[in-house]
Amino acid sequence: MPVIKQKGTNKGNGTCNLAIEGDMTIYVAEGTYKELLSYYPDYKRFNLDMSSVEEIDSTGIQILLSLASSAESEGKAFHLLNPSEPVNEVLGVLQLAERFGLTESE
Amino acid sequence: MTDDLLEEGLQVFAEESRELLEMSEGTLLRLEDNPEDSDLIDELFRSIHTIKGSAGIFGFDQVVSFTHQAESVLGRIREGELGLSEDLLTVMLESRDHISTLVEHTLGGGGELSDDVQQVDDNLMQKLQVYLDGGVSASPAGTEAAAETEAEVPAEAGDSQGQTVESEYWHLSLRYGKDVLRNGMDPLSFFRYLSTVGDIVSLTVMGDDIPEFTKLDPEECYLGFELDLKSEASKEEIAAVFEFVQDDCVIHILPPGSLIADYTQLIDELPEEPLLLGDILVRTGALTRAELDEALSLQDDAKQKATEEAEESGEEQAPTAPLGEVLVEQGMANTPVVEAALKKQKQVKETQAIQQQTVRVNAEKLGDLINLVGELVISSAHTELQATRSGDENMLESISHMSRLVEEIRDSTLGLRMVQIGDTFNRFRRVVRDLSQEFKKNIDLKISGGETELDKTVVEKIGDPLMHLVRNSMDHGIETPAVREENGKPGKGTLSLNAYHDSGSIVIEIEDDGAGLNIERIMNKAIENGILTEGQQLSEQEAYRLIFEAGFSTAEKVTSVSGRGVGMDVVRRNIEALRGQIDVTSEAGYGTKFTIRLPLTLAIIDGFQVHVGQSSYVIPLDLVDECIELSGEMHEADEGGNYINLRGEVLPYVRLSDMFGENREGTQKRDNIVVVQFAGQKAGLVVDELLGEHQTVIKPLSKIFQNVKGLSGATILGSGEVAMIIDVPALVQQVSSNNEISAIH
Repeated sequence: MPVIKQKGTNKGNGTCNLAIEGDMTIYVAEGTYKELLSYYPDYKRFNLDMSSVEEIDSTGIQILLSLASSAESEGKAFHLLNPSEPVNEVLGVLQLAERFGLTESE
Repeated sequence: MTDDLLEEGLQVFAEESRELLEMSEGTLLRLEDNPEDSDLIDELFRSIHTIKGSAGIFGFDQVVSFTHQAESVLGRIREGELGLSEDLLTVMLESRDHISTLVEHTLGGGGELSDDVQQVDDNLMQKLQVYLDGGVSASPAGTEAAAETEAEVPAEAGDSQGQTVESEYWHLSLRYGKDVLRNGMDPLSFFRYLSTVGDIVSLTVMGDDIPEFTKLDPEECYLGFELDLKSEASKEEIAAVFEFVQDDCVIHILPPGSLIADYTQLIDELPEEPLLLGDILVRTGALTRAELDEALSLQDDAKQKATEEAEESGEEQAPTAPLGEVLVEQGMANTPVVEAALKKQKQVKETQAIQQQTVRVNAEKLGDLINLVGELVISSAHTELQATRSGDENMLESISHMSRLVEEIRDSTLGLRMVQIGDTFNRFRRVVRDLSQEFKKNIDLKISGGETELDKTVVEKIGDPLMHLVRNSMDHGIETPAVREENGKPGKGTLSLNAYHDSGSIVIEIEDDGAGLNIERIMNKAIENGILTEGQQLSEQEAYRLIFEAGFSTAEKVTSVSGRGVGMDVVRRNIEALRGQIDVTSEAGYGTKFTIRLPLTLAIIDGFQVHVGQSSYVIPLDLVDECIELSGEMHEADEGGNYINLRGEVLPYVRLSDMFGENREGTQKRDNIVVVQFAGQKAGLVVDELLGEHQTVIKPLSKIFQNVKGLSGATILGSGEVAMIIDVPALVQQVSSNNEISAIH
């Protein structure tokens, strides 16, 4: 399972720490999405650890963008953490680092 | 692009612009009578706009910059900011002429304008500018592109009107289709590829279409990108990057320095004129529908905004550039596509704008067809003859059916070449208007019978003679208002052009209510010029005809249009070359009427075949009135004067056998008279035998026989024999003048 629940996840305070492993490509998009979706309604703060993502394509970016903007509009928090090299590269190409609040933290 | 394509494109441009310019002239003249007619103004605006657009496609800058100025003024008129005054109308007419000059100049190879033309250009530009002042100065579109960074997508940028993309970068708008990802393509990969043609300076992911997380379909693509690219590559090279997704992706590629608002402003015009270039470009794929739609969606906002701005500050909206121009300037469309679009537009326009279903056919092809039909007619006559000889009744029956069909084919084929004379007439509105001003006369042009049809080849050749007659009437015929009022006539003179069909001919009348011809002066002048000798007696009619003699002019002063002593004779010769006739009647003090008679067609006629001596002759059937037997009594009563009494009417006649030196030995004694009528005059032609109707394909006589009187051509009979075609007008004239002279003596 590419999406792994991390410690610190707590329905009580609404924090959800997740790590994504492997690929975030169209081949696994459906699965990744469904897993993320299963957490989505129950938490208010999402921290996504991207350090183990080996490949990301547009579907992955779409999922992240959708998650981020939905979270924001519902007053939830969403953070990308520790982007791996492939993630950084794509975010760089798409100039999305800032969108995910990564410019300073990196 | 090959030269052929370019050539073809230019051809279309040439035809289109000429047509539009002609239309514009007509529109302007109608506007003179109804300056408030907004439909006419729209029509004019569109014509000029289209010319500018097409010229832009070919990069005809001289045409573009001038038409732009004219269009801007028209735009103000259209918006009701300017009234269409008499002065402005004159300027617009001059501008139209100048555009025409520029177009012809460009088509003739272009290059620097001659000093004269340049002066007119400057002068008119200045005059037009006067009408534009009071608003923002209208410099040609595109040049005022300010170097402002603009990376927002037009569809969302309500305020992008007037802003420009950063001039040194290409701006790309990409909207991927939903299935792109499923189809195995990743938008990301294109950016990697794109970096091989240039540097991506900035990139914005347009994520507004991405649904909220709970409703996301992760395999569907919702992405759009706006990016600026620094690149030396051509539009084609950049577009090639997206070749694989072009079906699934909406791509705009704007070259450095283009106005986003251009599209909006351009498409502003589209709803009224869906046939504009832009629409066709969309259809052919040079411009995507989405591109157009986007601009359309911007349109309302922009329009509203512009109106508000205009209301607030009284400012003019930024000038619009035609889509074609912008597209090519920006390299959006490549020329072959545009050519195709132009051609298509042309066709669409013909079917819809003029609201007539027409097909443009090469005149040569039509000529070939008519020739073939001519041969068919001859060959069917031959077949008929053979069938008659064979006496096979079944055969005869089917042949007669076929003959009828051939006849119908002949008629409809000739009908293809028939055009209405109205367009030719309408051209004179302008002439009358301009000359009225020049002569300081007040002249009204009345046109009737514009729907009368005649052969296109005739129409083309009749223009010049008509022009001369119209000018002549205006110059010499109609008096100045002061003189007219002195003579108890209304100050405003009337010139009428009329056309109608009359027994196989078309009659064109040019009538004025001017001073009329002065017989005395004509006679004196003729004597002075050695055309007449002193003491010669002429009928009134003959005296009038003197004005068609070479070197004759009664004008006391030479003006720019007439009075140089050349003209009327040329007019007569031109008309006679068309197998036509010109006549003049006049009443001193009340006006002059020129009557031109022309044959409807120059190719095939219904003939009446007769036999004289050993040969066959053909008389155009339309001119045949009746056939009677020349009985012995009639002949005796005639006393050698070549007259018979036809039901109480005097009918002069001529023996064709005498005329053409036919040997009548061995032929029957009984004579027949074919009564022919032309231009109200009747004459009899005495022949041996009446053979009946015959479809006649006119074969012109070669130059050697040009001076043979009384014959207008030859034809081939079914038997293969050659028959001469009688030139009835010439004969009638000859017969009646012979008799007049003999009557005088």
